[in-house]
Amino acid sequence: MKKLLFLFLLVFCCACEEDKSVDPTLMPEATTSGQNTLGCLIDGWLYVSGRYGRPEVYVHDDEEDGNHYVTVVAKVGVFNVLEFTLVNPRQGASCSYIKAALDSDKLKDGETYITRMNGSIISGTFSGEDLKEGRFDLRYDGDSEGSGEVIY
Amino acid sequence: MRYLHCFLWGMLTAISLHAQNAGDKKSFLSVHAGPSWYLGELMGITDRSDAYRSDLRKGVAWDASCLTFSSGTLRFGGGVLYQGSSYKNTHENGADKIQEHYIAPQIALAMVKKHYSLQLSGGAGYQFYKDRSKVYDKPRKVSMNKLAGNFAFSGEYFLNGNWGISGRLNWVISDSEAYSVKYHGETWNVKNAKDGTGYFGQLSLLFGLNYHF
Repeated sequence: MKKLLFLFLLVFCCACEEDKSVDPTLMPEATTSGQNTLGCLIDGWLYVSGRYGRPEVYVHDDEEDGNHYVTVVAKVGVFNVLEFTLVNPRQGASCSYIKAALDSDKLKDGETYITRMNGSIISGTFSGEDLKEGRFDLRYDGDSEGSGEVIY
Repeated sequence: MRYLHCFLWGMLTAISLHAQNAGDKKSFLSVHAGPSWYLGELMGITDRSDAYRSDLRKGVAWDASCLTFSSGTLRFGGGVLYQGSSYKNTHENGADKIQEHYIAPQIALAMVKKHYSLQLSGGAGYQFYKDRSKVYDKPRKVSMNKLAGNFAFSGEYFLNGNWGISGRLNWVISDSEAYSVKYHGETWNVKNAKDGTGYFGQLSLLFGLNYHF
């Protein structure tokens, strides 16, 4: 079983493309042009995406509760994944993020401020009890929301 | 006042009398210190803003060298040079503290006159590069140890039989296609994103003493 797990990890590791020009120890610039960057502090340490693949964005509407959700999943290490879900994000407004987790460790909910959201780019800042100084600038496929003007 | 004039006259006489002998010695040890400017690409630093980089480029350097020459007015020689330098800057979310240590064998050409000498030297050696930086108050270490080369121009005025004061302009050059960064217990190799390789170096204007023997 251990050998199988080792082989699986080896294949998984080989399969992921590593962008060696990305320094995962530096916070990405606070951009709003869809640079596909994400970074934040957890326990004071930086977690940055980009080296092990682009962050992924999933948009879905829940008909039961009528909410609009945007889930962000970002690889911040070879085997580390950070994810959280934005609830009803709107450009120029604050919203909460829920279901935050680093791998299997659940993180507390927090606040996000959306600086841009135009149907193809979503960028903003986020902070909570566990996640600090967070920022993201991502491209995604979604319904057009807002004018797309950058709001700081 | 008369005593002061006598003292100064005596000192100058003593210096000039001994000055004839300083250049006759074949070897000298020298130590220098002075301002230094970081040239080329600042790789792996914690803030890429122009203002931050501009301030970070200004630092200090120090060196120690030992050279031995042939005799005559135009002399060929060789020896070894060590040069250290330090560049620091801080910003809201971090800081950089770059230290470079360069050591290399040297070949030199010197023109020795009665009271002074001029010298050109150069060499190739190894440069140890460390950036003990911080991001959000957490330690981060960048290293980029590479082969490097240097060119230097220096001038010396002989004070007496053994000592001289000197100035030295030294240019150290190196290049690197990647750097290593250690943070939170992990180490990464980061490639230069721009054009594959990054030139970096330092230009130092140093002043100090030479001891001839």
